[in-house]
Amino acid sequence: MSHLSLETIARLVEDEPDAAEAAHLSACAECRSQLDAMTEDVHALAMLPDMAAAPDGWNALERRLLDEGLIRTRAQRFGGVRMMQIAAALLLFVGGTLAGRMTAQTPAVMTAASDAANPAANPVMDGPAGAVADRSPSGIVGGANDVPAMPAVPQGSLAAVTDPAPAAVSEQSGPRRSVTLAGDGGARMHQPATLEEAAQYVRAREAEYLAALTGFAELASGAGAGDPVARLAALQSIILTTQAALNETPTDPVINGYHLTALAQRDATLRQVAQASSPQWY
Amino acid sequence: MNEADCIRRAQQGDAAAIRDLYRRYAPRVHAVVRRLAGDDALAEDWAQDAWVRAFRALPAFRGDARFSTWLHRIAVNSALHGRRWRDRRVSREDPLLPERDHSGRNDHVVLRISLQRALDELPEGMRQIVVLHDVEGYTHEEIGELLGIAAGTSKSQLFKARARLRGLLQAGQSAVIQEEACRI
Repeated sequence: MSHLSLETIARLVEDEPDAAEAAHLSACAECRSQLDAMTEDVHALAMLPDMAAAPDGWNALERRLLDEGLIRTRAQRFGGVRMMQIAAALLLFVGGTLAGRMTAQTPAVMTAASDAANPAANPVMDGPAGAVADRSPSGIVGGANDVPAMPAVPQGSLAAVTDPAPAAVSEQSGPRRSVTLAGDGGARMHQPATLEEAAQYVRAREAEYLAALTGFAELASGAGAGDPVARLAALQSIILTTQAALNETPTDPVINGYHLTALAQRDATLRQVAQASSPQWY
Repeated sequence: MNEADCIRRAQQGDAAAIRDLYRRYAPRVHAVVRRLAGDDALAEDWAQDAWVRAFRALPAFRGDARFSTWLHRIAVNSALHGRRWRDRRVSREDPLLPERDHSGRNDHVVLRISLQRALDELPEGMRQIVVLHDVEGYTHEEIGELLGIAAGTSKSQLFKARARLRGLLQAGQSAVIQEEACRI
């Protein structure tokens, strides 16, 4: 008597046997045993348990998901709002600084409103306000004879103002005249002759700009600094943002200015934290 | 956090929710992928691929099916896709595959997971069908769709695979008995 094939027995796990197969199974203990065993196999297969994933499976997956931008950390989720807050704070900080400098220390080169009519004779503006003027198509006009003048600009270090257009002057009553921004016609544009000259000019303005901001920040922090750790985090966010922007426009002076300012402030804050936290172990 | 909330937050990219979903279903995903892969290293890669695919597609998950069913299908597809990709690469790089060495894995695995080992020993095509049908509960029609074969082919391959599996289990049990006898 030939036995049923294993494939036939495999089929009989689910299907009903035909008459011949049923007759054989009733007569053959070995084939019945095989069928029972195979039925147990199939039952056991259906009951196989789940398997523990690799212990570091999540870490590897998380890196990949982060790389693909499929998950956002808590910081990233709130990053948009936080970055807007930081940007707003930065604007207030910079804007306030500039406004303060312009109203309190308008450079001598900006003071004579009448000079606007003869711009070719004027050296370019110096200091933070000058930096802003260079970055803006608008001209800074106004008289400020009543405010201290900035240090004299060495000859040859700065280009002359070449914009022939007269600037608008807004004379105001009272001891202090406001400095206003006018239209394109009043721009005091720096027009370097060479690329190197332009670069030197930008570096000089940035250095002054940074010095002014740093001084302001030191005064501000002395008046009541906030949480240095939070400030560090905010500054780091700014640095990352400006760094990303510089990757796109590496020579943009405005972005460079923000970036360098943030770097300087971060370093200053780090020094401040280190000094505050270092124990006097000796 | 219940599953619906977890899914909703994960759809928005919430890292904690995504991790929660992973922890809930990682054993399930790993099991199906591991059994289809027949190999631990491959299974890890394919399981990760499955999760990445799942989280890519998660924003489009509308809850028409249970999440576990949806995820399971992705895991199966990912493993089958991984198998096809690997087969193509291997066939290009090294058409002469060496014989598989079974001696090493018999030492410490056979006694505890003889069934799993027997599954690993099956030829890939047979293993896929046994895993999908007998382990995961797919119908022959579904398997036919997944593998691009006729349902009848799936059925006949399943019977051959079960027969092969029985033979492997018997050989494994004989080997175990022999090993036990040698120790005595």
